Amino acid sequence: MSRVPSRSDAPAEGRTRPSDGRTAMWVSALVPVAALVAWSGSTTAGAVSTRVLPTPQAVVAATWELARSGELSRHVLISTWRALAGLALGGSVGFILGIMSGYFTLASRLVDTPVQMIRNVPHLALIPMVIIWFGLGEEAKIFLVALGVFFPIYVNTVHGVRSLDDGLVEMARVFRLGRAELFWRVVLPGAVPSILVGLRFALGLMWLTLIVAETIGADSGIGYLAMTAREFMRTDIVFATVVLYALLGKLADVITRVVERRMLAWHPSYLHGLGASGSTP
Amino acid sequence: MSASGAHLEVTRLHKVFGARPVLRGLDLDVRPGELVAVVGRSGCGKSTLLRVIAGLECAYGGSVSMDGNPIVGSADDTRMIFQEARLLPWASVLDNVLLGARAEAKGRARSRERREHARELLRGVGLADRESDWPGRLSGGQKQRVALARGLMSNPRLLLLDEPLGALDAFTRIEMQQLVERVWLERRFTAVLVTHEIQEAVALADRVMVLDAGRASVEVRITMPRPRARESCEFIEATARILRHILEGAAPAVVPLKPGAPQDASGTFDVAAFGVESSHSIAPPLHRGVR
Repeated sequence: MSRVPSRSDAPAEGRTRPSDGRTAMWVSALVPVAALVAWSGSTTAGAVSTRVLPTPQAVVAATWELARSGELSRHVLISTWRALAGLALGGSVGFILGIMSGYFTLASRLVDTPVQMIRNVPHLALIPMVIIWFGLGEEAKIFLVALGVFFPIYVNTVHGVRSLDDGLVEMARVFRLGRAELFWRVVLPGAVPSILVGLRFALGLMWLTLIVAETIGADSGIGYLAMTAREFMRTDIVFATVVLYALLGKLADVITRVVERRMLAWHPSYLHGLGASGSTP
Repeated sequence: MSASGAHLEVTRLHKVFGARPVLRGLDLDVRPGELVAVVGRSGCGKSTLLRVIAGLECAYGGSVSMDGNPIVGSADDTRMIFQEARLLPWASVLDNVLLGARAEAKGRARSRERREHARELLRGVGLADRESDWPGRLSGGQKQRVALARGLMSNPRLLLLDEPLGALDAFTRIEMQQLVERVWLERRFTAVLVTHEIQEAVALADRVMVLDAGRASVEVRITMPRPRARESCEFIEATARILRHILEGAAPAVVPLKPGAPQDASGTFDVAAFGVESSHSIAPPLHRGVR
């Protein structure tokens, strides 16, 4: 429960005054803006070859061109579909096994030890094997993504269930909660903060895995777009795909934050972030 | 509205943690509707006694029975209030109170009635306007009041209080004592209160049992009318008497553990134990009483 990632930043948002926030925003924007100016200046002035580094204008133009032709949305959609399918598959298996392994001793003995062993193998090391098993079709990419997201979800779900406050379990016994009620009202809600931490790790791994999988073998998707652009030395398009990945990753992160804020409204870090009244009896 | 209190009988209760005996043939008989306080030094087994009655620990020997029926595990007529409130932080205050409903009453039917009852209890503990708040927004005393309301939700016939006010500040504690007394007078459930504060025991209990090394050493009946004035001579006298019993009981608690130890060595140990205890829990109430 102590591992909610927003602990440090959530209260800050609540406490800073709007004017402070605006100043802070400008200060944090300084370095990126300076980098952009340097990039634009060096490439337009010809100091750096556009073959090595496209101009920012060219990247914007390429993105616009791709968007207008409909190519962009086609590739983004197919990539998003793969990412989400893999997440749903690996995430649900990880969640169910994690709950069982955290809750039942027998399941823990059966599942936890082997999973902890396999966890140390980088899942991308399986790419050659996966290509042999599934070829270059959709299954291979979805499988890889599922494998990538499985571990963080599993590990954090187990952690969440196991770190449950014993005092609450005792309370549940004295108040004679049934097994089902104990699970749905005490165990699962108690594990949610940890599961959401796992989800955020998983989303990072989801895009990472997909990029690799799509670069290796695909006939569609953002990774495919980047690889074909490379063949034609279209560095502007390659850069556009990098920006695209960054945006999709950021979007996923923003969505989890919103989910977290809703599901963990009770959590001390969010309670105090909203400026708890701190009333006394 | 509430069923009357249960008759609790604890007979020759033994409990061992590892090789260390915690309860050694403890007897306790609590009449229906009686409020008994159990006091003693820390480690004397008072919390263990309560946990065995609640079904959270198994007895090693002896029996616990309610109205003549032996209790195995947690009984549906028994509720407990812990030192920490133990509210579900992810459930609203009202849902936390509703959690205390009886298992068979938790079905879909009569859910409105149940909510009404929970609201009424919250009103009774002075938190009617906080029902939709998260427990994290409440102060320690407010949390404990929610825990009390949750404990009363099923109209228990036996309420166990395990140092429920131990973590509260002095003012909140006195307020809570009054609340517990009022609720108990209204409902007349049987109650066992474990506390390390003698004043609290004297203020609330019909009978104070001093527990010493796993046995009941002394029982003091408190007959003062309620509400009891803490500054009255009687109150101060009762507090001092119980304190004396606790302190006197210390010597035999130490000696059997070291049968072969030289006399002066066990004497030193004794004094050390006394010093720690008095600085923590026993001396302050007496000082307050004298002033």
